[in-house]
Amino acid sequence: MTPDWTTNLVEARDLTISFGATAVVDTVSLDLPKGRITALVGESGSGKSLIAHSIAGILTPAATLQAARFGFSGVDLSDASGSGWRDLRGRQIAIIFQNPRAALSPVRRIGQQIGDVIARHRGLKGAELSRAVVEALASVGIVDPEARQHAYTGELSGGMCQRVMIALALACNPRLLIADEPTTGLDNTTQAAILDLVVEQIRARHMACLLITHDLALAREYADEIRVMHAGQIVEEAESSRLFSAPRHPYTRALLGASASQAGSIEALEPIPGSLPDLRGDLPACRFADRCARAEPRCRIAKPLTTGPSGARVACWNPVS
Amino acid sequence: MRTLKRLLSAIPSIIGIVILTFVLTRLLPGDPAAYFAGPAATPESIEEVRTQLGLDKSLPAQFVDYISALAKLDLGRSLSSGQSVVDDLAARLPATLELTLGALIVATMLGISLGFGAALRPGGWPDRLCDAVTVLGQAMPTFFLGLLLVFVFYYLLGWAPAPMGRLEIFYSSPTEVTGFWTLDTLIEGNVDAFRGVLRQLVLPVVTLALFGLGPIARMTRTALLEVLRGDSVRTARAFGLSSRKVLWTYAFLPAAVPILNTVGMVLSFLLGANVLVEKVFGWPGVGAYAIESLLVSDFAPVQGFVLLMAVMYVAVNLGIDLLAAAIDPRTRVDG
Amino acid sequence: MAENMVSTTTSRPLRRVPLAGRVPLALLGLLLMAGILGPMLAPYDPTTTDSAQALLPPSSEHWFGTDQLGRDVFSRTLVATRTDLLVGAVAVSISLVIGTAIGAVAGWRGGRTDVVIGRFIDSIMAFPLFVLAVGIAAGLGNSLTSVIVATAIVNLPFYARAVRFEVSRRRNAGWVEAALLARIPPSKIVALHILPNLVGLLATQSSLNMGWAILNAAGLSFIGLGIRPPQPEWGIMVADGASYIFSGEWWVFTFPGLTLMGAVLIFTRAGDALRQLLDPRSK
Repeated sequence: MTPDWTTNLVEARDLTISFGATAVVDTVSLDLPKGRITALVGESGSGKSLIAHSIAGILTPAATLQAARFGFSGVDLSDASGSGWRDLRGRQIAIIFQNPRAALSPVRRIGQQIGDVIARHRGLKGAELSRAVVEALASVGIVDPEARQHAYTGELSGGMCQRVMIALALACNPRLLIADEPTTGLDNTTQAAILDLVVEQIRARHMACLLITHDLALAREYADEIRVMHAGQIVEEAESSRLFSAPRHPYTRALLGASASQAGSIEALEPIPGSLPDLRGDLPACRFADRCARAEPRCRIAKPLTTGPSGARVACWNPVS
Repeated sequence: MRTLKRLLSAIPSIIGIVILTFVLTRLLPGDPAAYFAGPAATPESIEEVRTQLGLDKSLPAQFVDYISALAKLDLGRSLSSGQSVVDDLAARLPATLELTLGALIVATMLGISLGFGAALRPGGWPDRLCDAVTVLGQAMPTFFLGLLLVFVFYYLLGWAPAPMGRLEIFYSSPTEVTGFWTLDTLIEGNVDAFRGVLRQLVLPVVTLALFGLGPIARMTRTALLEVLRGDSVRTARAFGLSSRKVLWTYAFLPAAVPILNTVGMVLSFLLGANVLVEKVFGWPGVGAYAIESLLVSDFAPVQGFVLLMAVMYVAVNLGIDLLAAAIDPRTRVDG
Repeated sequence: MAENMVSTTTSRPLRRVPLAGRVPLALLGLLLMAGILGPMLAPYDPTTTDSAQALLPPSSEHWFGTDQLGRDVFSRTLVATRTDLLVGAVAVSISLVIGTAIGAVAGWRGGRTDVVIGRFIDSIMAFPLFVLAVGIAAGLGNSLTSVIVATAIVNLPFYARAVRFEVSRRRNAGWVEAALLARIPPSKIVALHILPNLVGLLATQSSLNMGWAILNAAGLSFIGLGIRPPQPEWGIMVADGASYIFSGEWWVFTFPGLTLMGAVLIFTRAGDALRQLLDPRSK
């Protein structure tokens, strides 16, 4: 198995992220194909943000990372201190966070913050730099960017802060955008506007995108590919249309059942039994086994292989067919 | 507009200080008129002095006199020097400021460095040093530390000059331009004397600085740690900014205001501790002047000194608030 | 995360409670004993002069040496403990009582009273502490009383502020409203139901303030205010010893200075230890 850098921008094989003896992300394999939006979906605490952080190079030092392969277009991502890697950050890989107001500096004008990143990666100075800053702000639909660039985050709304964050992320035309719960904390109309903007920019620039979300409806609407995560394991990988029409993993089915927009009515909402297992304890091989109605004895002993044709792969011994 | 508002907000403090200083002067036990008239005074001459001093008037009338004298920058006359208190204070203030500001600069620079070290590696040696300096600074009597340093560095090692004022007698004192002798010697181009002035400054500055070091280092550590753990520093790192940029612009700047406020508080300590340090090092500043006057019951200089210090404190805090507003937009929100 | 931050910063000075907390409390007991029993334990009379014995270095006979008048420095240092602790204790008691009263009134009344009192406190705090003390000593004359009063006034804002905050915070609690409806007079509500909640806070603050008060008072006597010479007091002893630095008789100023520092350290550390014991939040 050699990496395929013509199709994929990021390839991870058997990626494990652990805190001490606890594997919070457990031998995950994930490809991010070029030009496509891949959504990583799961309950909070499932480890999806850690994967995002490890790709962005901001994994907390308390965590240790191991992988058979973990690369970005040929550059090894597993050693975050490497200097070649430094130039990927912000230049080729950009990330937008939830709670954009906190993610931006409160004491630096937004234009200066964008300018810092552009100066670092594109080496622009003076008038050229300020023109690039204004362009970056204009490209995300900020009205009157000339004036707005002098604002502080405290003077902007949450939605506006997220636009600034997106402008910052896109300022150097990265090849991969990681969106880590980008709309949490924003009101519904703003959510839609922000995501429309992100997707429009990604398509226009032919970028790859990793969308981290707990919201299935959102993933369905915007993503091409879906990866479903449960307790640090990826349980199903499918094209978006396929996944929603014919979910195969019991957990995916349960998630769809619990999601309001999927159910026809409130009565049809089914809660998922149990909650995410405590990762510190003894875990069954398939970490969903204890919550699963279809579990068999072997689910606890042997980790299910990921099988199925490309576009409809599932890690389950007893999938729904 | 906001600046103006903040300037105006200092006025009540100034009024409070003026009233408090007035009350202090009227608390004087015994009869000031008799005191000022001297031991050989007759009852008539005492009454004369009383009228002269305006002490026969009612308290409110005396207060009005006091205010109008203040408005003319008249703080009375020193009995021992025979000079006007304002002139005496003005002549000695630069010595005090040179010492205090020197100590403040040293304390701030060392404190911030130490706090940085402690925040970057909690539990490391700068962190421990930070704790030790804080504990020591809290408990160590200023005057005792000063004397210890004199004993070790002057008597035992002979590295420091005798603790006798701003410059040893075999140098000629510089012509005063700024009143800061470090600057005045340089203006004259007298490098030897400049070195002499510095040598003389070292021990008192270190003595004073040790007291400011602890709080500044601690606040730097706390404020910086909070920002370093926050989201905005994570963003700066995720976008590949250089560690220098991350540390100074994205971590230090948001932490600057609490640190600045601590520096203001420390300056207030130092203005007080100055009195003791000036005495230990024979430093001819306003603190030593106030003490000398106090011990010979010459009260006008003491009152002038107290007023001067309080006004300086208010002015410094005002300056710090304005500076904070310039650095950090968050401090401007509530005006 | 933020909550975590706060608790780690407040508990830092005493990471190793309770052991580290017990040591200063034990030392505090020892210090208080020295204050009470000092004059009985002193091997020599602290004021008897003997020129033949002047400026002897520390020896088995005179542990801390003798001063310029041949007095035993150890005995003087020991006996001075009572004076210094007493000055500090009286000053702290005054600021505790008056500060609490002022703070309670401001916190209970609120409104304009609160503003006026707040301004007054701010004005006190606008003076560098030691400068204010010098000013008060100037106003009241050079006496022990003025040293005590000055020290008391300087520490007063700490109590006034803390009590004001706590009283105003509890002022609108349901049970206070109920007590008012039951026609219990406000002074009684504050004294019997609100202030008892603050005992821990005030005890902690008092221990810290004892350290500062002793330091402040010793500083004032160092510059010649308050306590007059033959009486042994740490600040004066350091001042007396200062002149002998230049001839190398270091013991005259060093021992009283170290003792003063030790006493202040004990009070501030004990204050921190008390805070740990009384305030579970800061653990």
